[in-house]
Amino acid sequence: MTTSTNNIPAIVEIGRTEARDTLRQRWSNYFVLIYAAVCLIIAINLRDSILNATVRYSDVATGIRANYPANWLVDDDGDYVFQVRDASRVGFKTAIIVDVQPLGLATTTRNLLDALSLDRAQTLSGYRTLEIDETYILPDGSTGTAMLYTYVNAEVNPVLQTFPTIVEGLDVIAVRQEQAIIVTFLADARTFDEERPIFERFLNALEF
Amino acid sequence: MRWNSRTRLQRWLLWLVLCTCMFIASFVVAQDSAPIAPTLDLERIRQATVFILQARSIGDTLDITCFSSGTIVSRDGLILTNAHATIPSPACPGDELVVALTVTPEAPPIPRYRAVVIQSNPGLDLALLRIDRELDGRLIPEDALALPFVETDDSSTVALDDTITIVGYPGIANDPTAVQTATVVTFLAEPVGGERSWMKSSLEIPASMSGGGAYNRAGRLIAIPTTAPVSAARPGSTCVTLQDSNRDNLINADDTCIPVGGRISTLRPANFARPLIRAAQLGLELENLSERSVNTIAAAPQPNFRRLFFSPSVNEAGMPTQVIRTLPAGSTSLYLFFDYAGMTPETVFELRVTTDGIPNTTFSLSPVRWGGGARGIWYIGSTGQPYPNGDYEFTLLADGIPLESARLTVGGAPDTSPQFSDIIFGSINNEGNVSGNGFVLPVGPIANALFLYRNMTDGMSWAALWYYEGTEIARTETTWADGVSGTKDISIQEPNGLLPGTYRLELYIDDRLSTTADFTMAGAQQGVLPQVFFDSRFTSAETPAEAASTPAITTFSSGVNTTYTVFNWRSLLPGTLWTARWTVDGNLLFEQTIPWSQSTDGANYLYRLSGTRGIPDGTYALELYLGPLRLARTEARVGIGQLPIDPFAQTDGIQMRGQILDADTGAGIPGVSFILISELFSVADFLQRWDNDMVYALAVTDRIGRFQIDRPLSFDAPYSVYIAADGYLPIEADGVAIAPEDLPIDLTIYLTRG
Repeated sequence: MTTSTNNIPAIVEIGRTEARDTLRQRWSNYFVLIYAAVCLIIAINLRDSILNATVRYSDVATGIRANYPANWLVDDDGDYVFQVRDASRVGFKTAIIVDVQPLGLATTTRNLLDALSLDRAQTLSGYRTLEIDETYILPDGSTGTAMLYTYVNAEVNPVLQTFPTIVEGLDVIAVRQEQAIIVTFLADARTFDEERPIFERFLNALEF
Repeated sequence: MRWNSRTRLQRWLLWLVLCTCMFIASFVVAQDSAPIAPTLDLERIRQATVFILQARSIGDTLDITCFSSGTIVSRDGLILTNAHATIPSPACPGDELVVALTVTPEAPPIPRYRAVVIQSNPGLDLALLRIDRELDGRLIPEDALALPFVETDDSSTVALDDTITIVGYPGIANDPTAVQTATVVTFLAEPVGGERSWMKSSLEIPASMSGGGAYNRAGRLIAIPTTAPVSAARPGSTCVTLQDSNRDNLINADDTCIPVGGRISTLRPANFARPLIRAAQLGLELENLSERSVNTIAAAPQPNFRRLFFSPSVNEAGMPTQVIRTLPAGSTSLYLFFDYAGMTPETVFELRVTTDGIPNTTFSLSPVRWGGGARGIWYIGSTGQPYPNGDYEFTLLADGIPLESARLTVGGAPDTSPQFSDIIFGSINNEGNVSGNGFVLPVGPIANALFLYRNMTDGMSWAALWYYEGTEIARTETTWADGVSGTKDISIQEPNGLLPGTYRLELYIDDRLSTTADFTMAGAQQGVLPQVFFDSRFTSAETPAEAASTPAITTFSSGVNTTYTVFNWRSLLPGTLWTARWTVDGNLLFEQTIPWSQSTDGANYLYRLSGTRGIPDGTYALELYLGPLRLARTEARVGIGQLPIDPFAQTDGIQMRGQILDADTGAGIPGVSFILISELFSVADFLQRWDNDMVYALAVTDRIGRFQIDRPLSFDAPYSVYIAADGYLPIEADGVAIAPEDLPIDLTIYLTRG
């Protein structure tokens, strides 16, 4: 609204007076912010605890104890100590396999790696060793051996139309009293690095 | 104008005639292809039907040498097919077997795997292959495959006029599987398999379907279509040239020609294949260590047939009961007998029958591999199917060449002419009667023959001719003085003892062969049965040489890898046909009929039975036969003495497949797990433990969201289902029961993003 004196236009600004929050309102605002932050932290923690929840596995015969991710399918009927895989995952099912193999007096870890490579080359399409690290530091501080490799995984059912998946695998080998413990991590090569922390946590909790 | 009207009228008439013809044709086609039995899981059967290419590797290329259809009979990749197209031979010289599968319905097969022959019976033309490598040569780990397969059924339960469904590939890998419905019109008999050596179907199918499967209404394999095309090198053969095998950049007559056959209606009953499958599934291997060094086939003379005659029936030793020239009207049984020589397992044998000059496919035998030895007596015929009246001509062919034929008239009244029949052989006992088993006599100075006679008149001339190993050794020609009908015995004597071997007696009336039979002299006198084989035993040893001297063992511990079986023999002439039958828990495992190749007397004939995964628990037995007579038996138990049960070996139940789609987009979701939980657990149980032992089957969807459970579901078992996929809400269900009347289940499941 405008008024004039002596035909001189005058400007009157009409606006809302900035009312000051009361002390209670200010504290309310602070509490809301704090509450939201706490909820966020709790939610993140809950999510993490769900995602990182583990289940205890122990094998009396080999003395192996491990914590594997919850809701992963555990299988101990194969020619390994046990295997867990993420059955809910869409696409290649990320898996961790624990196996124990005897070592002769003259057998070296390198011999074992060669044997693994030869076996896999017979059965896995496009199998190729990418890298061998003979100074891999195990969670207990000792030195083990790690072998990074890749292959192409294809559905065995010939009737289904499935695209092959490039899989990246990591073997971590530790030698204990004339036997080698081979812990293998298998994942889609596109998500291998993203999922590797799952394997690291598994390895950290592994007792043998 | 008139001309135009007439033209239009002609056009309309032409259309009318064409439409009428098409209508009649469609009606005729519909009549020909009877509806498929509703209980057949045809999709599964077609998926289990494979196309097998035998190929020869030259450098880094493969040249196709032979082909056939085949059927997967176990989830881990055992394939049943014909031996002639898979085992290397001059006609099929390939050294690689490529297996092509039906991946897309109604599409030709796609090569996927390589295979090896692990069991075979060339005489029956059956072979069992195992898929062992990917197409690129990579090994397939044991138990890695979970292929759609079919089960065999007891083919002895098949009856005349039963409906069967025949599945195979009608072309040379250019066509999808063909499904033909037919009926069983007759069974053909041969010495190698008895009355049901062959089934004949009402429908003729392409020869490339040989090796496929014929199924009963329950969808079980009851026969294998079988024919062996004549070798491309033989006159009269048909073959096709597919590749530039000589690398001259031309495909012409200089390139390898792959033999193909015509149309066939002959099926080998599945009971002959069951021992092969059983042995393969148990991982058993049998080696005849005594035959290895002498198992060489000498160059054979040209095949020939002689002494063709007909008999209305066959006795238990496979001998004719009488010789006939006419058959009364309404007869349902007839056998053609003949002597053969110069035959090999490679020889393609065929019988063509005409009635009043018209080919009669019901009683003909399509070209098949020879199932007998190099020489001997053979028969082929049938019982149960009426022979219509008419003049019959039976022509025998070897390698596509007609060699001999015989004629017979069916019709009229029963023959009332003088007749001898039903010869049996034995020894005279203390009461003066002929005793013994009838066909195998112990070596001694005398052999008696007892036969029936009827419609005889005293004073007629008759003759008895005795042969030893094909050479006449005695002849009696005299006049008849024993009345009209009855039984009579005659004998042959040799003071120094009759030699071991095969003898033949021919009886003639007025220079007409009236009846004939063969018998064997072998072994020593010991009760009713001669003692030919003795001291048979199972044993264990480090080497075959040690096995001869180690003591008998009747019980082996579980997991034993190798056992030996040893026996001794006496008075058995080389060349005499004998049979070794191996059984496990009473079920036939191996059977081998071969000419005796050792000396007349000897010891330590040796077999080795071994298992790739150890010999499974069970009761194993070796039975030794001469003709139909079992002369020795020995058995041993392994472990608990009973075969283990394989839960994956049966196809009973319902197949489950389906597609998982995104509820928003309707697109298939790849890589989703469909978890079928055992009927013993609920979803809640499973989610507590996530234990693979609770899982009945787990399938993962393909690129369009389709999945297939690789095990059949049991009827009325309350399974649970859990479908989990990251990014989607899980689906779970308990108590999913399936009734027997449910057809193969094809589910469509929608997942909601969440």
